[in-house]
Amino acid sequence: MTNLYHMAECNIEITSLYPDVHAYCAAYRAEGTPDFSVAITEDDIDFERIRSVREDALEGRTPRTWSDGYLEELAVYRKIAEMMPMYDTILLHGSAVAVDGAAYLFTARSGTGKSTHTRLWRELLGERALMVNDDKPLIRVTDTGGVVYGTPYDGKHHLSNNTAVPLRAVCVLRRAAENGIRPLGVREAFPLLLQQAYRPEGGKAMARTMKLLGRLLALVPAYRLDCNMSIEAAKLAYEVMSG
Amino acid sequence: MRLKKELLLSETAGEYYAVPMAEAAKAFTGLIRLNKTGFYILKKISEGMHDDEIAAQLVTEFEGVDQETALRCVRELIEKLGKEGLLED
Repeated sequence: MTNLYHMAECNIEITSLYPDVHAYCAAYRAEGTPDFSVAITEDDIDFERIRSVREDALEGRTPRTWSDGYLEELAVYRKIAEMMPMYDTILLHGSAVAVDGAAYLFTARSGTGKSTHTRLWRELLGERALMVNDDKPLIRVTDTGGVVYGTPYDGKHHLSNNTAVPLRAVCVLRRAAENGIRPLGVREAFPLLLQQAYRPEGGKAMARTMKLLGRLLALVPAYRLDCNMSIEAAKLAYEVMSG
Repeated sequence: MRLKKELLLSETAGEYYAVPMAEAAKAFTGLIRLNKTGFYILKKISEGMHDDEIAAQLVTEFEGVDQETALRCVRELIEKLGKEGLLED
């Protein structure tokens, strides 16, 4: 089954073995000529299954069982992320929210509370706050900054919009008893963000990922937020980063 | 002794890094930040140069370094890399 989708300015042709990924990406269907194509094999699906079992083992969970169709959805995004650096675009693990046409990207390890924090932004700002992508946005690095794109891969609460918003700031979250925010220099921010970026298997794509991230951090301010998951944390973060 | 091929050496935003890729990433999942000298040494190792040759080059490239100190530095770095599973025979 083959269809064309438009994500982060790219026309992507997806050929799958199962129908699930096409339903999953339905909001991004497009017409036109593909910039690149991804096609999934049984091996790609097995790779995702082995990876999932390994991650469960690392986290001390009982291995979960996923359908081939679901694993194929993951395999598709992995292949897309592998190609994207060639189009000046990287995948960053994080929750991106837009306010008044400017996007703020919160990143941290899983379980830190990225989604909880952007939920607080929505509580604080109401309809002014629009979710771009709650889990795995694509970010295109331009000559003047970054643009965050909604994609179908938007986390367990499925919070995203098929939109493109200029990136105002990136923020590395950390849980703390007291709220506090400070700017991060490139030297500090770079490794923290690289840890949360998709690391391509291909050497060329990985080298490009690092260059793109370096360029992004030269153009977009980065912050460290210590936060206690109260609405005051969102208020502080918004005031400082939008200012 | 050689550096694993899957170690990507990169100079980004004025900093020096070595990033484990593919098989090397299984042995070491982090990111290695290097100073200029460390980066230089890793590059030379990746070009297949021996420790004493690298030390000799360090002496000519960097001011105020003697062969003995340079060799000790190179060997220390090689030992660290070995411990992290980033070298192959």
